[in-house]
Parts: sequence; C-alpha cells; structure tokens
Amino acid sequence: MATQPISLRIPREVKAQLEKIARRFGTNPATLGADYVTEGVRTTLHPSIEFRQTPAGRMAYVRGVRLPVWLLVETVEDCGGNADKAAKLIRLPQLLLKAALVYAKAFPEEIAADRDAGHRPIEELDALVPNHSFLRV
Amino acid sequence: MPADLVEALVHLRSEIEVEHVATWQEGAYLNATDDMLLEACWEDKRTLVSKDRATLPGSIALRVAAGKDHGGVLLYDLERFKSHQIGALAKAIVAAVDFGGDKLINRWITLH
Repeated sequence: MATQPISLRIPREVKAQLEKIARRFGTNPATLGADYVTEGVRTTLHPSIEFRQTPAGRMAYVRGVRLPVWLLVETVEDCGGNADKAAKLIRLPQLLLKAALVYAKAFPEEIAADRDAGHRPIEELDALVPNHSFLRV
Repeated sequence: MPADLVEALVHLRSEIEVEHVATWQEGAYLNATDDMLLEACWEDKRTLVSKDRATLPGSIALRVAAGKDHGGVLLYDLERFKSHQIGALAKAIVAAVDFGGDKLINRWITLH
C-alpha cells in the first residue's frame, strides 16, 4: 500500500507511552503510530471490528467476541456461503456477521494474510508447542 | 467452537463437563484475549478446545516461557473438521479425552 507522510501533535505523555509500547512490540513509534491511525480510521468506518495484538501480529476481530474475521469468513465458506446459517451455527447476530464480511471484502489482502497464519501446516506445531502430540481421528 | 458442540458432547459422554465460552462463568470470557482465557482455564483446571492455530500456539509458547502451566489444549484441524461437522468433531474430542485421560494439563493434542 502506498503511504504518505502527515504531521500531528500529541501530548508528551502519549508520545512516551507510544515509544514504550513500540519497544515492547519490537517496532518503532512512527510505524506503530501509523498503525493506530489506520486502525482508528478503519474502526470508525467499520465499528463492528476491533484490532487485537496477538502473537501472530495485529489482527482484526469481531467486536465483543473471541472471533477473528478470517475465521468468520472461513465459517461462512464452510456453510456454502450461507451467512445466515453460519451466524446460527456460531450464535452470532446476523448483522454483526455481515458487517465483518463487509470488512473482509474491503481488506482482502489483510484477511488473506491472517488466514495464511491460521492455516500454517499442522506439522509446524511440533516445533512451536511444548508437549505436543497428534491424534488421528 | 460451534455452540451446538456442547450438546453433542454431553449426548455422547455425559460425564464430560463442557461449557461454551459464551456461557462459561456467565460469558465473562467471551471477549477475552488468549492469555486471559488460558489463565482462567488453568485456574479452573479446564482444557481449551479451539481451531485457531493462528494465535494459540504463540500464546501457549509465551505462557510456557513465563513459567506458567496451562489446563491443556485440544486443537482441531479446521481442514479436517468443517464448521458444520458437529458430530464428527464431538466424537474426535471424546477420543482425545480417552487418549489423554486425566493427564491433559500442560498438553496440547492436535486432532486431525
């Protein structure tokens, strides 16, 4: 995505906190600040979405539930594209589900990247998770 | 996990105490982050069932690195179990419980 610079002023304490959080996330304040602005714009336009810091990076979730948008998209596909059936299956209000699908449609590359993380080869789990075993059923 | 899975599990094996996150502790963890939910499950000696392999492996790794135990994770392969395959998933979870017995704490079993 092409980017453009902007200049803004924030309180001294906020700048210090931004720097501290950036260090914790292993990034720099400018990049994190740009992410926050981008997410702020997106959640204003898509109020049913919230962003969470996860071990796989920042990820779009449906607001108020433990459900990442990519997983919701996948659930709808599992239901043959029937969003109403998917909403019933996971007991999510239909309009909330459809609002998340609108977000997914608006940012397909972001959701595809999250989805890739969710489809990492299960063989990798042996290297990532202590005390891991497979059970073929 | 699909809400109907709870009913299917109870039907198959009534002695398994299973709750959906939407109702467990009156839904207090419905919007919880992985680390909050893992901590709550550990306190309750409860095993987490999930299909989210995007974030959970990292969350468990961080928890272990912090020297903390966990209540166990049963992860089901989302390519093997589609969202509507409730019956097959319930049977697989019962098989995992039989496989793990009462030693699911600090274990991660991937069902595929």
